[in-house]
Amino acid sequence: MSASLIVDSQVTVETPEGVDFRFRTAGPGRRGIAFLVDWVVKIVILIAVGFLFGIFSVLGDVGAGLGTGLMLFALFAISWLYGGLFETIWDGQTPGKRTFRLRVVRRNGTPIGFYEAFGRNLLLVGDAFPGCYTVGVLSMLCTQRMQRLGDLVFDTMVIYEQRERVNADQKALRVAPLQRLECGNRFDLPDRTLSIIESLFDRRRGIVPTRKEELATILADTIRKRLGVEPPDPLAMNQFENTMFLRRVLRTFGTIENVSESPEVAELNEVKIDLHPDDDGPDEIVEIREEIRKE
Amino acid sequence: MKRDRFLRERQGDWKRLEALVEEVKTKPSRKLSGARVTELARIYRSICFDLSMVQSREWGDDLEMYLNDLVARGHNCLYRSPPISLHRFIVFLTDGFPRILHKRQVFFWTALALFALPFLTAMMVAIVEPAIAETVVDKSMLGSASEGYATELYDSVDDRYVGERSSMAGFYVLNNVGIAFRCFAMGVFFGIGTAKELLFNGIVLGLITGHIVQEGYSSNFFSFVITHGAFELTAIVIAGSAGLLIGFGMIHPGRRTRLDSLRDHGSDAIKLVVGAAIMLGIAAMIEAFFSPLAIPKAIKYFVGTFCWLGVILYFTLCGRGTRSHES
Repeated sequence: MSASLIVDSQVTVETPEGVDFRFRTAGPGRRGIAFLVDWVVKIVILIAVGFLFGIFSVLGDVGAGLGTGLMLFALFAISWLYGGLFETIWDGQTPGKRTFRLRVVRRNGTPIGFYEAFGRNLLLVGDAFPGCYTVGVLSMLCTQRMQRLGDLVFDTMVIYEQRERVNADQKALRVAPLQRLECGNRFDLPDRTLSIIESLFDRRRGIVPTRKEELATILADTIRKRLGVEPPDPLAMNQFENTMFLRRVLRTFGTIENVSESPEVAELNEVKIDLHPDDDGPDEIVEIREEIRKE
Repeated sequence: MKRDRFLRERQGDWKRLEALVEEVKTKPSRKLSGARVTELARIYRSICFDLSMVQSREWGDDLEMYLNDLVARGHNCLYRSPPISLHRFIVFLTDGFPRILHKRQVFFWTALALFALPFLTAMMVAIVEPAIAETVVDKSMLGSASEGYATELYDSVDDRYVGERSSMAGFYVLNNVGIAFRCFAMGVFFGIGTAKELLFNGIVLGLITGHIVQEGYSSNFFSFVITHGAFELTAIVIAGSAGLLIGFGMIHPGRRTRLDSLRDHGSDAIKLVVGAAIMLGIAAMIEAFFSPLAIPKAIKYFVGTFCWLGVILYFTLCGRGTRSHES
């Protein structure tokens, strides 16, 4: 899936508190895979239930009949109630959806109840029409929130849950922070600059490494000048020298860990709060921001 | 405020909200103390403010996403639908279900017409012209249907009865509730699918009934079906009206947007379907264990009439008064 598709799938929901927050709706691909996982789970449950009720037949005719009856009931429950029940008790998730971090919510972002869960799953029959879930997939492609018919009728959507913490980017944590001694000038960067670096490393943008290095070179030069860091020796330069440098910058100034773990750095910055009000930095940095937004 | 100072000062509340959200998830909300709920609401509101601040100052996508997620989770803790409870279920059965059927009775009568008229016509046709019935419905199917009512019923409740009837109970649930659900779900195609299912089922059942009557098994047949039919036939028509309801919501949104209209009709429709499914469950139990008993037919007709009256009275009398909240 291309990066632009993912960005397009954002849906903004306004809370009663007047704050907008965003969801990323999930498309047919991810939902399809989750659906297949659910199928496997259903088959496994059926086989297990079949064995269990098969044992009943040792009780003679009564047991065999009872076992068959329960088996048929289980078949009914799995084919019609599976999704509805799981989405009710697991708050919009089935085993497949949980595996792929999907969740069904109402269009206003609140959790679904029994009726929505049950109803949208019954309407799978309509979405499956006339075969291979054609209607459902077409409906997802045509609606802004990628809803199938069952979602449209019951006002639900399937979102992709992001559980990304600040600094979930492990690469940024593996690099060493800049040392105070490496910097000839002030040991500080404006927040806007940091957020531009972050957006460069935002995986959702899917910027290829070489292009990232190009953009990073322009940023890194400006930042080195501002911090007073010696430019690297051109002969000893790594292929992604500037990208690495920006990761170190981010590790030094842009992380919660950094702020909470090393109070000295925080204090150093505190002193400068009033001296250097937020600014967009030099023109090069503003330009890069525009570049990254275009990616 | 600078970003890092903001992070330092506000992080405590963020971590606190994460903990509270986890607590609410594992505990039912009514067991939370009032102080907890107040705290949750207060911290949630302050984090909403944090999010809008981060959004307006462009303090980084990661941070924004983190807070966005936190707000989403807090939002879901505070604004959730009421949990399922026995009380809600009882209110639904005694009030909500018949009330919605009253409200949407036009759809009920339409579905009934779509089902009963072809049924009666097909039955007449099969009685007068048996040859026509055989061209529409498979001959072996007609044969096995009438054979079923020619055989003896169970004259004692023994092992064979319990075994065979239990497996049939499972089959009736699987088959009949499945038909009702399908009949409802096909309503998403502007109601056409539902209308087709109702017509088709009406014609086939009418032909089979006519064939059985024509073969001379009518007293066996009617004494067999009268009791569970009260629940089964009514439920199929109700499921059909739910399908038509959805179709109508799509075709005729009125002054609302099509989506709003669909949501409104959909929420009533699913409740009708749930009610119909419960009725079909009852019907399956009766059909499996009561209807095939070899007891005097008079008793079956008596109980059957009683059930029909019960169903009719239930839908006419329940859910009439005023209610303060929707169930």
